[in-house]
Amino acid sequence: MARLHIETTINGEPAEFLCDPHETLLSALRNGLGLTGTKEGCSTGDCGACSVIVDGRLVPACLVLAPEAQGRTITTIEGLSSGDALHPLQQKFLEHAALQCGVCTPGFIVAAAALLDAKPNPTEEETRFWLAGNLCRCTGYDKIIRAVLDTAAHIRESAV
Amino acid sequence: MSIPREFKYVGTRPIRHDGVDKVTGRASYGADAAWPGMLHGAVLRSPHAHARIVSIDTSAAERTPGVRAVVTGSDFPETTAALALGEAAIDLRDISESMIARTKVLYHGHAVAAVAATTFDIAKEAAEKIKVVYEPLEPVTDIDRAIAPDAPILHPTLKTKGAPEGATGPTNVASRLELKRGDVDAGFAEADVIVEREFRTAMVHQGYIEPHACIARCGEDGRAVVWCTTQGPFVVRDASAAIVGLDPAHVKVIPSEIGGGFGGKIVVYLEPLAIVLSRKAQRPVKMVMSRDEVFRATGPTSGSKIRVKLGARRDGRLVAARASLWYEAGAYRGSPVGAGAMCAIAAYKIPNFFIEAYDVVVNKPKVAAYRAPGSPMAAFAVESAVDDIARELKVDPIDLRLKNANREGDQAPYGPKYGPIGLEPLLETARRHPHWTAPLGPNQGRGFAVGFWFNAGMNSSATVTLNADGSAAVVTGNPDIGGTRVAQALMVAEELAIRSSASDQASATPTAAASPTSPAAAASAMRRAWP
Amino acid sequence: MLAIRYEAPRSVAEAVRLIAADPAARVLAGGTDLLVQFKAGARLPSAFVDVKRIPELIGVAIDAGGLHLGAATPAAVLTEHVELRRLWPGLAEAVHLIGSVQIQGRGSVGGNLCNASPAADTTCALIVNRAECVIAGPGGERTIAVERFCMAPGRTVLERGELLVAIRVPRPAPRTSDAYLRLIPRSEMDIAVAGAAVSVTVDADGVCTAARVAIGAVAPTALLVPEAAKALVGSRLDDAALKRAAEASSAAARPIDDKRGTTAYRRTIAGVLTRRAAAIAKQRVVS
Repeated sequence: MARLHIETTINGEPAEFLCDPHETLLSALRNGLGLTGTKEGCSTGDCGACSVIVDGRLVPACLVLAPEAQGRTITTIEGLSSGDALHPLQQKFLEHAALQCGVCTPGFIVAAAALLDAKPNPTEEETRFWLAGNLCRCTGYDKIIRAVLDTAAHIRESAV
Repeated sequence: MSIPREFKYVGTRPIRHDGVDKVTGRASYGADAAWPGMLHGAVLRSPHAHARIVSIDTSAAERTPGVRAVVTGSDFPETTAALALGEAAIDLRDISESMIARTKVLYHGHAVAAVAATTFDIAKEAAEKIKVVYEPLEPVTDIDRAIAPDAPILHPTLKTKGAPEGATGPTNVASRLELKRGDVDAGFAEADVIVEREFRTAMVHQGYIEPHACIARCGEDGRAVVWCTTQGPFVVRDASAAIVGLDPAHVKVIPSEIGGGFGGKIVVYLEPLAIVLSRKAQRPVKMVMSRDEVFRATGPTSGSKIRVKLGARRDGRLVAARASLWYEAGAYRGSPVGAGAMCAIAAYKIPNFFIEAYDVVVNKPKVAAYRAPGSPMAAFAVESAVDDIARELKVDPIDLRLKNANREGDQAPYGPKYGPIGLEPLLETARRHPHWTAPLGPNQGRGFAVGFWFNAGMNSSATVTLNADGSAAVVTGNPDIGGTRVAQALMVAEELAIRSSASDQASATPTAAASPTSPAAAASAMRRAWP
Repeated sequence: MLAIRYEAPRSVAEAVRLIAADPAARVLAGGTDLLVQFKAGARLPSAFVDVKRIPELIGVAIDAGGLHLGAATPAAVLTEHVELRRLWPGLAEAVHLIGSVQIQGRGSVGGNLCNASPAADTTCALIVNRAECVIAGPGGERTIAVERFCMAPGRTVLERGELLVAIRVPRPAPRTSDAYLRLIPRSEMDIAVAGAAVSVTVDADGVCTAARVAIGAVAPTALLVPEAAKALVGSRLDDAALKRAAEASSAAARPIDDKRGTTAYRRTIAGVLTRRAAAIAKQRVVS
């Protein structure tokens, strides 16, 4: 079976890759494109470590087929920081020590970025609900929630 | 306990050195690396929990285009050595056979063969083409079945270590030990209240988010380089070398960043397979477990059955304790039941006790360390019984524990005298906390329990290099599982009284460049540095 | 070698041609069930037929007739839809319970239905709202009531070459509302032990003039429970009526024992959830 040639936009830049028809977007990102910031924790949509944003929507890359990416716009963890500047979420995760081993962190930050796009002023409950699909085995979540809420406040203040 | 001095750096909260790499996705974990020319490995696993392997035919897999190497248990030498591993010695033969089956499969998911091919899909398909003829045997999946007189036997040569004189015949009980003090029958005779309870706990997996992963390369000179996610690169080096028959000096382990371990990433599961596949194929081989494989074939903590009997006087003094602990070791001996026995009543001053502990093999994956290995299930049983005593006596559960708390200078049930264990001030603090007396709302409850665990430094080493500009670099042999880079840097800064200690390189320090260091016990190291 | 094709038809006719020609092809909507089953080795399709590029299968439209829902529309599109949430709050809350935000970004109501799990959260809410399934096939289009769509766990009425195109839900009558409740042992991200949806119409005097009750995860398919509805109609949805409806739901339940719950527990819970959902639906009409 011939591999498929897929053209897409990843982190604001045109990207193309070859994939097997049954390959996942997660595999194409990690193995085909070398974007290993998106992690594989379960491959069944349960852990959130592979969270990416496709056409503005938060999805688990493990449950997207790579050929589906044709013509779509994808944001991964690698696309959140720009040049020297970290994304505010990345900065707040560091300040709040909202990570320990760090393997779930890219997924949390991408999911939280999608949250703040959808709801710039989320309540704690909304934040916890939104991030329920991301598993962290180390932190107990609290610092992650604080970091996200603090980021939201910071973005609002900066906008004023 | 007193803190000897004011700290200048320890206790501050600088941004962790690995932080930016981890929030940007740049940090490289076990599955994130790719080496030029690498192959991909897949493992064929047993669909039976207990079966004899009659035959293995790998020819169809070997003929599959793209396949470069196939290995089975017969590719690994017999080994009988033991390896010192943290708190216990492990039998390398058990580790080797747990990693890949020889004559029997002993758990569902037990590796039987492994394949390296140009793609993972080819390797997986080829592995499925390997024909294994099994003779299924009755699986032993719980303690009661394992210790029944007519139980199927996992290991025909297993003898009970510590068995009473004269005990013979095949068994699933790998060891038995006792801890005792005073006269336990006399103790119960003087007790006003006695509770006796039985508890069972299930095997529970560590559940780290990052599955096991490695890349190994074994060159023409027979030397191997292994990149892997591990809590103990020196364990991986020594165990892999022994299992594949190499000199440890000829195995270099490069630990990746580690996506959680909780005790479960100390043993080797993939690395020796990858080394031997690489040696056959003369190409690097990458192996990554699926979540399904992690749950089926890597170490959980023991399931247990625990019987506890406690006796107390009317005034709340515990006067006698009897406990029997049976821990599931999984397919190979070595449950943490000894630690469970040592911890069970370690919080309490009880003049008369008798504790017996049994290490029992069952047809499940071999257990691995998991957060105070062995202690939580013993604490669950004993603390539940202590609560029942409090209920019977109608006294506050914290008061009851205070009355019986061990203090500095008291003798531990396992022998030595305690140092400053801090239990009494801890209980006092808890009792004064508003949460202990706050009114409960609907559907709210409140409980209290005490836990006990040891501390051990084991082999630890660090190299500090002073740079020309007056900064320092720290090199240690352990991966940073949750903030140890910063913790170590702060300690060095404090000791050297320099403004900032440059980044150490705890992760990605190859074993060849660091001194031997026992596996990372992340929680303890981290919590000391981050108050 | 795995030889699986990926097809992304642009029209219903093209999709129907593809799946009619190849019975081993599988329709891919959000993939949150299909790809998990594929990876577990439970399904080995000859092709994934991705239907998300077919205009009729994507999107939410609400007009005087009611809701027209493209079968492959991600769940998140529904939960974000203000008018949908206003008209069918019970349906919206059922959709909102599916998996995580990530899963809702992929998984569709049509896919949830085609997976035919008796515990699917959306099915009960669709049933009480009189939803209909629009099915395209080689012989043309047909429409059936949603309660007749699933036949057994994992089995639907879809025949070879047939594709679920859309789900239609009629606009609710005036003074009508709905509610869906499920029980899971944790607060998020789990599969229902039991679920119940209720829709009620209440007149100006507070009398229930129409009702539909459906229960899930307590039989091989989600069940419409006319006896429970009967207990509600004509009443003021007082405690006695709710209790009778609960008893009817419990009586109709035919649950199995499994790791999620025992037969007896599920039967009881089906009743409790019916009672509570009815009370919420009533409250929604009143307020």
